[in-house]
Amino acid sequence: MFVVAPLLAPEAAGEAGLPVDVTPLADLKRRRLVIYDNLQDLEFEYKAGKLAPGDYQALRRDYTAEAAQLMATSQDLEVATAEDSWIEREVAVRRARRNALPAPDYTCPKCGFENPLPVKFCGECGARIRPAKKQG
Amino acid sequence: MPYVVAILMATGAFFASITFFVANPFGELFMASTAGPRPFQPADGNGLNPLLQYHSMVIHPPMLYLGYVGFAVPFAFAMAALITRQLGDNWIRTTRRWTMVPWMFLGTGILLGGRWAYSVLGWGGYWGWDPVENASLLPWLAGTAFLHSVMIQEKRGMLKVWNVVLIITTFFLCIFGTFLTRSGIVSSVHAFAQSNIGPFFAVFLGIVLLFSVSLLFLRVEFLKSENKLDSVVSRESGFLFNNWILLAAVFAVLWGTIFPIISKAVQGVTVTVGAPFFNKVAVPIGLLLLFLTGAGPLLAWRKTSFQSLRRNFTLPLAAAVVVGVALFLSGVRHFYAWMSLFLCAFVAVSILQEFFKGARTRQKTGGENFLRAIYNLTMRNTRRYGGYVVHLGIVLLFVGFAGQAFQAKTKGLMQDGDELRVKNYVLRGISVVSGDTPNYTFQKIRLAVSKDGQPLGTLEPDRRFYKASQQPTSHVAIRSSLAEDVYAVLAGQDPDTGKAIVEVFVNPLVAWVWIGGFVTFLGTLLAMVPSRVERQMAEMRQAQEAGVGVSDAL
Amino acid sequence: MRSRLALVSLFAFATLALGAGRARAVDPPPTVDRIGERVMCLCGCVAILNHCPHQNCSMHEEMRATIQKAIAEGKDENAILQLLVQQYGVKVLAAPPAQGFDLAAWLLPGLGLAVGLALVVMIVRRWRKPGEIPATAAGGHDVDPKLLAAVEEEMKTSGMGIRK
Repeated sequence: MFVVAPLLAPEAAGEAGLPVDVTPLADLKRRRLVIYDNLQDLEFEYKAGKLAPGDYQALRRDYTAEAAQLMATSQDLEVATAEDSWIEREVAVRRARRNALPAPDYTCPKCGFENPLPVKFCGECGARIRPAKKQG
Repeated sequence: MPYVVAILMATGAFFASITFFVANPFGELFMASTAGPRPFQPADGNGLNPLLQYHSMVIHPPMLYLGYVGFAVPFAFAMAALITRQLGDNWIRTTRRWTMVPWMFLGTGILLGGRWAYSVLGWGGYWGWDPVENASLLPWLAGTAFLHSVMIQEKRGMLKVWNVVLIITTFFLCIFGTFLTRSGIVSSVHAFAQSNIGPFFAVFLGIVLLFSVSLLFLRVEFLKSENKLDSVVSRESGFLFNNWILLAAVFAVLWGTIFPIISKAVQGVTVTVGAPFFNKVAVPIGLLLLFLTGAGPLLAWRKTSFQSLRRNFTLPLAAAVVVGVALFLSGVRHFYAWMSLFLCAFVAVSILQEFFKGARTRQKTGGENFLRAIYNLTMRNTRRYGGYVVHLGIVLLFVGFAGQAFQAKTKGLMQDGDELRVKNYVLRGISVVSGDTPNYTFQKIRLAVSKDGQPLGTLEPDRRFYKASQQPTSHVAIRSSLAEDVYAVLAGQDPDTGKAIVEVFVNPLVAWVWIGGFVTFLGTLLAMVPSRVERQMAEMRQAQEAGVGVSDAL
Repeated sequence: MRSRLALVSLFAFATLALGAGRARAVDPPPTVDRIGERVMCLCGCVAILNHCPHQNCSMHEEMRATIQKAIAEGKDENAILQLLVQQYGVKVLAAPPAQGFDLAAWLLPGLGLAVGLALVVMIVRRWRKPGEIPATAAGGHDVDPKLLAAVEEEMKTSGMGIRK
């Protein structure tokens, strides 16, 4: 049963047809890196005289535009992620308030970073976090 | 990873169960008796078949074997990636690297086999289009197609489904090759391996095909193309054409190989599909492929304008035309051979041009000296320049193949003082010597070779009679040079005159086949060295993965 | 456009030239060696007659003698092959005759080549971006300069791409 499990599993992590070992942001980043690599090759081939100037300009513009496109998607996604985490935090805060408990504070004792989510380790420096009760 | 191992173990389990239950090699040591099978101790054997007592025959089978077996690894990675949906760019990189290794071994194995046939069988050639030879060529061709089209996936994020199809095809052809050899459904020189395990292989092949193809269908949405084709004249379409030719070659060879079975099924007559068929069919395909070997790398990614084409094609084409005219004037009239050499010149110059242009650019920008620039250029992108070296090796192979068209041969009865002429060579019999070794008795004729009156030393072909197996074989004597081989066989003794029957071949350019094979081998090794770009990318990736991981989690 | 024409014509030249290679001059007179390349040795070695690896192979000599005799009688190459087929069966021919069902053996590789080409052409057409010049629409001036700056920055930090 264990063996066939992944075959039968529903589209759990299926983020818009993305493979499971890739997060959307990482995928966008990877594709940009590939484009930069291609751009570097393009530059080299142009310098080596393999490409006519017209081709070089056009291809360079295309690649850059593609990278910019990916960058835009990436930034939108980051904004969305930030919003998501804000929502999560709000939910956590309100849930805590509803349960008449003081909202836990996840400020890192080591670096002082205010972690937005309930975490066991600081998202900035990785130090262990024991939530302190927030005053008030 | 667990699934990679699972797939490999399933394949392993199949082969293990074949040897345990169906074709137990130790089963040969049991005798049927009235009280059931009874073990017996065999007497001393006859030793290895005398034909196989040759040095490259020691390396040839393990090389081929590594090739066949090795292709199971990329297949396992592909299947595991499909099963677990881990279809990012990790699996394709691993798969690509793991394809180069068996590809190299299989190619080397095929060539060593050819080398053996050339120096032992005594008919002056190295490739006979025997079904089992074809069976080894098929996965090599399919693997070549994969190694090319995988580049489109890495560079442009396209052809993802197609690449999986190619991996499946390659693995399938490996098992199919084993099936052809072992089942004996086609008659072959390699019939030594015949046994009754055919049906089991057929079932296994069916399972492999069903499993992999249905898995591919289940996961096809994860393999979406990231880009579109910009232009018909581009590196991408160059690779598409390369794949077309390679797979057409696979199809043609496969079809010819299994046609006797089909014919038997349809019209009840077993026909033979041998060398004349394959030479007619495969030579044009091979030449088209050779053309693409040179033209492909001259095309730029995405799109190439006429101006760019002119920049890159002018020199190679001009060089090829010069060579072509020179060949024609020097009396080369065999069309295919001429075409092959013409294209060889085109491809070789185009590759050298790549190296030269790249190095000059580095010289200009980095101020390196020429040799240093070539070295850095190659090490910066080992895959590309290793690939070019492989292409160069293929060119040399084709130079060697073309030489086959100018083979000259003659046969004569000889004893001391008799002369045999072939082309501008004269062979004169000096003496016939007999001798005895623990393994065999032999009789050899010493021939003085001279070319245009210039003495070139002696050739000593011999005939051996192996004591243990009571089999005669002949041992070819070859005088090899870059231009041509003189190849002498002592074929037997004429019963009437008692003279030795000597066959002499002059095989032009054969040495280039072995040199080309060696260059191909070196080029593949070079392509496997991790390049600077790759290391840089890997470091980036690690740094990125750490960074992106955190920001995604938030 | 011109580039495509150039490449296509180059390719067409190669293909045509290969096709032209099949048109041969008149066949030279038959010899045992020539015919020996076109038939199989039937001693069980599964090799071309000229390539039979067996020493003192009886079949081999017998077949060569048959061919020799037919040549002496003045038969041409096809007639001799015909004779051998009558004597030993179709399997003596090293390549199937181009007639009847066996024609399929010869036609299918070409057909495969053609179908493959058709497929490639179809795929190329399908994959083409709709319209010839979407590049300028997407690229050029209407890319947000802020994005471009971000891209340049990332290129610099990644150590790749075109350096200014």
